Parts: sequence; C-alpha cells; structure tokens
Amino acid sequence: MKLLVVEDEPLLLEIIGKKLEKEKIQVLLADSAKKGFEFLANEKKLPDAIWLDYCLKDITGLDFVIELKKHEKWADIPVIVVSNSASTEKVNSMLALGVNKYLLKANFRLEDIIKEVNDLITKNEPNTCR
Amino acid sequence: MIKKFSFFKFYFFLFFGFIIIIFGAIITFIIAQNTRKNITTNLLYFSESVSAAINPQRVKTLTASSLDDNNPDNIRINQQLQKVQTYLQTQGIRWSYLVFQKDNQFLFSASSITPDDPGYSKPGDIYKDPPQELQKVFQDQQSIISQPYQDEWGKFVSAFIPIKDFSTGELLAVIGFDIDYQYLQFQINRQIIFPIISTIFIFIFYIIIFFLISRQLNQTKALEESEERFRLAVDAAIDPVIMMNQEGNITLWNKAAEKTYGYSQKEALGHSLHHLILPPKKYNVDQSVNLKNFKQTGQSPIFGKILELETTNKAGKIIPIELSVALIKTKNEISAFGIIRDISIRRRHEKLLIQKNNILKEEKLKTEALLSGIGDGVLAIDQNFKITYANHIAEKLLGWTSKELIGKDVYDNITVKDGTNKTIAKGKRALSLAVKSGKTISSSTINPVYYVRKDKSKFPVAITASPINSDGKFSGAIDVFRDITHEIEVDKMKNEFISLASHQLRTPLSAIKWYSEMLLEGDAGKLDTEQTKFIDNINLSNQRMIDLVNTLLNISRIESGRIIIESNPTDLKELISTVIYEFESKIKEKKQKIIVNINPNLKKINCDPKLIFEVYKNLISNAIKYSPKEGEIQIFVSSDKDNVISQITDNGYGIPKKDQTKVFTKFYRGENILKIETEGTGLGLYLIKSIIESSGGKIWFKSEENKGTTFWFSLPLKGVNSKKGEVSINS
Repeated sequence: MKLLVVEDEPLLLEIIGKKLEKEKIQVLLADSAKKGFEFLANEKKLPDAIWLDYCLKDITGLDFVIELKKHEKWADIPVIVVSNSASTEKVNSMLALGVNKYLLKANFRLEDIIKEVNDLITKNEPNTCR
Repeated sequence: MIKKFSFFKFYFFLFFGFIIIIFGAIITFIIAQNTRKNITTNLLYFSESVSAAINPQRVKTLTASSLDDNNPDNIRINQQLQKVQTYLQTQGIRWSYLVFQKDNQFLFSASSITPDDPGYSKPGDIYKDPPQELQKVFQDQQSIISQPYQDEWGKFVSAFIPIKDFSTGELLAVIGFDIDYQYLQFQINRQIIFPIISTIFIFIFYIIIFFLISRQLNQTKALEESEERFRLAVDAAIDPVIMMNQEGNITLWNKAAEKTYGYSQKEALGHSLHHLILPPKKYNVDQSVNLKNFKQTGQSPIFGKILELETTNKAGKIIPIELSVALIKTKNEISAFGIIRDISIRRRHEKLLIQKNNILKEEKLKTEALLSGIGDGVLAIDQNFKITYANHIAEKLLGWTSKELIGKDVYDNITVKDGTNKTIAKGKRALSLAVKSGKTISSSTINPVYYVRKDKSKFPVAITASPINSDGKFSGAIDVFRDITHEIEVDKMKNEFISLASHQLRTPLSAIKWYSEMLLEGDAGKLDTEQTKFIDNINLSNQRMIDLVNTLLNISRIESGRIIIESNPTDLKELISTVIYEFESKIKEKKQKIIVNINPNLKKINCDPKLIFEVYKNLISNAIKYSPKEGEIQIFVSSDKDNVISQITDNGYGIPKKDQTKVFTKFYRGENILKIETEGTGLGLYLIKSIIESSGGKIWFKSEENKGTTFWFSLPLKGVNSKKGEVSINS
C-alpha cells in the first residue's frame, strides 16, 4: 500500500510518516500542496490513497482537491481528509467534491486513522459525491 | 269675529238678503196700499163732491124705471153726471150711476153712461150681481168704498154714496162711482215700480257689498292665517328669529329668542335690539354707525352675511352667536330679518377639541421622543403599507430623510436583498410575513437580509416586524431594525477566531497525542513501567485538553446558534450501547454494574444521533465518574403519549442540595466530587441541556448527597426538526 500524506505541520508529518512506516505502508510525505502534486506527477505508481490536511501552507485542502479532480489520472484516488478544523461548510464542500472521509485529527489515534484508510482502500468505497 | 263670520257667512247672507227683500216688499206693499188708499180716498172725495151736487129733490122724482126716460130730472142728472164724468175720467172713475133699491132688488137709474157704451143700463135694469157694499150702504146709509169686485161689466172698485133727502134724511138712492180695477192696479203698479227697482238695486248693491266685504274679510283671514303660520313657524324654530325695523326696534321676537335671551316678547317688542342684546360698551362704535346708516338708507353691509357676535342675555351672560341677516322690503317699510344661532356649545366643543388636540400633540411629541430615544431604526407603516413615521436613526441608516419617506410605499422605496444580492420579494419580507401571520417576525442574524440605502449601498439588518391591530383590524405595522454590520463582523471574527483557535489549539494537542501513542507503542524504544505510566498521564491530560477544546467549541457554537441538528430516525438503544461500549474499560475498572432497560417496542425517533449520543455519553460518563467502586448504574428508556423519556440513575455521591440550582451552569462541578474526581470540565451538563432543549426536549434530575442521582431527559416523539446551522458538534 502506498499513501500520499499532505500535511504542513512538520511535527505531525514526521510522526505520521513514522507510524506508517511501522505499519509497512509506503509513504510519500508532502509538506505542501505543491510537493504533493509533484509526487503525483513524478511517481510511476500512483498512491492508493491521499491523506490530506485542510490547512496547508500554500493553498487550502479544498483547492488541492479541486485541482486533483481535474486530472483524470488522479481523480479516482480516494482522499481522506484529516484536519483539525472543520466547519460544516468545509466538510460538506469537501465531501461534495468527492472526498471520501473527513476526520478530526484530535479525536483519532494514528492507529484509528490508518484503520480508516485501510477500510477505504480495501473496501473500495465508492466516491460519495453529494 | 271673522271666524264666526265665515262660518255663518251663508246664513248671514241669506238673512240680510232676506231682510232687504222683506223690507223692500214691505215698502212696496205700503206704497201700494198707500196708492190704493189715495185713490180710493180720492174716489170718495170726488164721489161725495159730485153726489153733493146732485139735488135730492130731483132724485126723489126718479122711479128707476122706463118711465124715467123722459123725466127731466133724470135727464138733468144724466147731464150732470156726464159733464162731471170728463173730469172724473182723469181720476180714473169710469162712470157713475144711481142705484135704487126696490123690493130687495137694485135698479139702475140715471148715470153718466151713454147708451153707446157697453156698460149702459137703462133705468130700471136690475143690477144682478151687486157687491155686498152696495147692500151695506142701503143699510147703514153711510158712504162706502168697496173692495174690488167683479160684475158683468168688469172688475171695479166703487164708491157708494147715499143720497139722502135734505129734510127727512131718508135714503133716496145711492150713487156709485166705479173705478176700473185695472186703472187702480195700474196706478198702484206705477207707484210700486220705483220701490221694487230700488229694492232690486239695493239688493244687488247688497250682494256686491257683501261680496266685497266677504272677500276683504277672506283676504284678511288669509293674511291672518298666513301670519299665524309664520308666527307658529317662527316660534317653532329652534333658533331665535328676530326682526328689526328701520328704527332699530324689535318687531319680531320668537319663543327661542325669549328662551335664549330671557326677555319675553312683551319686554322685547318695540325696544331697541342693540340695547337689548348688544351691550353698548362692546359694540359701541360699529353698530351705531351701521344702525344710523340703516335708518337712513335702508342698506347695511351685514345683509346677506353671517356674522359672529357676542351678545348678552338678560342675566348679563355672554352668548356667542352666529347671526345671519336678510333685508325685507315691504311697501311701507324696510326691516332686517335675523336668524341667530347660539354657538356657545360649539365654542365649548371647539375649546375641548383644541384641548384634546393639544393633548394629542403632546403625546405625539412624547411618543416621537420615545421613538427617537430607541437606538434602533423605527419605521411605521399604515394599513396601505405607506410609511407614516421614520425615526432619525432610520433616516441615518437608510440615507433618506423622514420627509422623503413619509407617504411612500414601504415596498417600493426600501429594497431588501439577500446575501446573494438578490432582491427579496414583497411577500417574503419580514413586514409581509408579520402582517400575514399577525405575529412578530424577527429576521435571522445568521443569514441576514440587507437594506438598500438611498445611495444604493446595502447593509445587513436585524429586523423585528410587528403588525398593529386596532379593534381587531389590521391598521399598520412597525419595523424596528438595526445595522448588524458590526455584529456580523464580530460574529465572523469570533468564528474565525474559534476556527483558528480550535485549529491552533488542536494541532499541538494532536502532536502530543500521536507522539505519546508512538512512545507507548515502543516506536522510540521499549518503555519501562514508570515511563509508560508517565506517558499515560501525559496522554490523559492531553485528552482532557482535547475534550475541553471540543466542548468549548461546541458551547460557543451552540450559543451563537450555529449548531446543526441533522435529524434522522435514530435507534436510541444503539446509541446507548455504543456509549457503554466506549466506557467498558472504565466500568470494568471500577467494577460497576450497568443495567439497561429499554422498552422493546420503542421505535426509532427522529433526532440528531451525534448530538443525542453526546447526551448519553455525558450522563453515563457522569454516572460512572461520580459513583464509587461497585456502584450500580441503571438506564431506562420508555415513552409516554408525547415523549421518549430516558433515565440514568446512579447510587453515587449525589449533588449537594445547595448546588442543585447551579447544576446546569457553565463550569459547575459539585464541591463534593471535586476532591474525588478531578477530571471533568463542568461544561458537560450545560452543553447537553442546550442540545436537549434545541431538540425540543427537557432535562431534569433528582439527587441526594451520598445516596445517588437520577437524571431524566425527554425527546418529543414527533421528532426533532432538522435545523440548519453552520457547524455540527465537535467539528
């Protein structure tokens, strides 16, 4: 399993990376949306899912998803947003764009999040567009 | 008298006419009789005179037979009689003749009648049908005038004169003088023509006079009646009606005038009007000049006009009046005819009205001052939705002056837009909704509407629109509004702050959480017991912080009305089970017993599962926290007619009586448990109370210290309406 993590908080990015490694998951760590797109563009094998934070340095998670969905190759990659801010607006707009899940960081242990990701990938949950 | 006259007029007429005729008849009769008398008296005189001329000696020789034919005495008497006859003729005497009575028979003898006259009788002819007077003369031997009689020669009136012997007085014969009755009649008639005609003329004259008088009297009567009618009308008038002649004296003073001014007719008539009701000191100059003019010229500037004057009555009281004066000209004189209207009542009413008006004005000013004192914009509209009032704040906010707004249609002049700059339709505006529903409508501050100013700029408003009903009828509405730009800003700032704060707070908390997690999993090396314990403690505290941040966020969102309620059919049993599952380890640790008793027939209820989950979580967690080891917690869920009631009972520390009123306040934690259980933010009950009440339910409890606590909460069976907010819980 390969995962793209886009998270601009370095501490968090580091520990997420460590955890995923421990779980034997291949991980691409991007600390900005730009980095994330670079990975997507350059990697031969696309990640199985994207772990996306909402508040990024350069653009918002929303814009990232919008941009992502524009590219045919990337549009089908399941996205799970793990963020610490979530107004309903944000959640709904994300979900409307086809984000598969929206989790609040502080409420979940890493382990739980990874479980969610697994479920996402293995169960092959369809994009729930609203 | 006139009345009687008109009634008896006919009889009167007849009577006097009759009298005249009778009178005339009597006169005529008298004259007739007189004439007759004269004639008969004349007859007598002449007859006696003539008979005196007849010598009785001659008469003695007569025999009243054919022997007399040659008797010279006979002849002589004949001659005498004939000679006299010409004169007698003028007196109407037709003939005269001697009559002898022999053996009860009357025999003719000498006469004035000549044999060629048809009335001729030979001496010795029998007078066959003599009048009785003839008989009487022979008996009484006195002269007699007979009544009219008829004999074979015609109708006569005769004088019979006895001829007596001079010496013996023996009646020898009677001489008769006949007047033709026709002659008599003629003479009479001649005399009575005059009186008859006179009578007729008099009678005609009488009729004429009668007629004229009658007409005159009728006219007088008509006039009197008309006057009477006029008087009655004038007296019946409610208003004083007066007339003044050219001298300024009162000639008409009706009952109403008596009543109003206190002067009786007697006291008023003939007196100066001005002195009576217009006291000199007030109207000195003007009126006397007018009066003088009127006296001289019969003109006055007040004719045909209505004046307002102040008059005085007998008692000296001032009576304000309206006087209308007309000029009346009759053949002989000029009068001023006036109708007076006492306007003292009107004046009083006018004063009252002015007073009332002033009071109203004052109140209006007060109200306006009050309204100006309101810190919000106030617009008032009438039943036709025309603006009747705009306070100065409304003016300021809208950019229009009060003058520009008043009278204008509120919908046409004040545009309302929504957040997307779309104009809101008339029917959807707060004012229309308030008027239609009859209730006060407040607009939302979360999704506000915008008023458009005069300069076309717009600003967000919070509107409270209320309809005004007077007597149950819609008579207008009031729109109180305020500019919430600042409020929205503040709200936005607050939300942004909260969002930011929550994010900023949570980020380090997440880091601590995850790093602790990794440590505990041994990712940085194996940990000994103590190290594990320490990190556990770090984790616990961190979790508390996370919970606190979440709760604070939720509370602030609930308070600003931004929580969503996403209502779905929810199985409460499931919620409870999940909660219990979450707390399994804790329950096991404290060796507590949970008993769950849910009505098996309980249907799913429409509510927000996330929110209600929080409620159960809070209550059950409290029950666990505030019960000692081996405590017992019971959970019941049942329903009555309208609600589902959930009950959570513990036999723990309870809530001290003196704190029971503060239970639902923010940050409350019972004194008794503070020492025992340090965990707890004191926000839980406050939060779930807000949730339950937003869901249309109620929460209540009973508790006794060291005995236990029971909490109940209800949710309406008919379900909770989804509520659109902006955030959901814990986001």
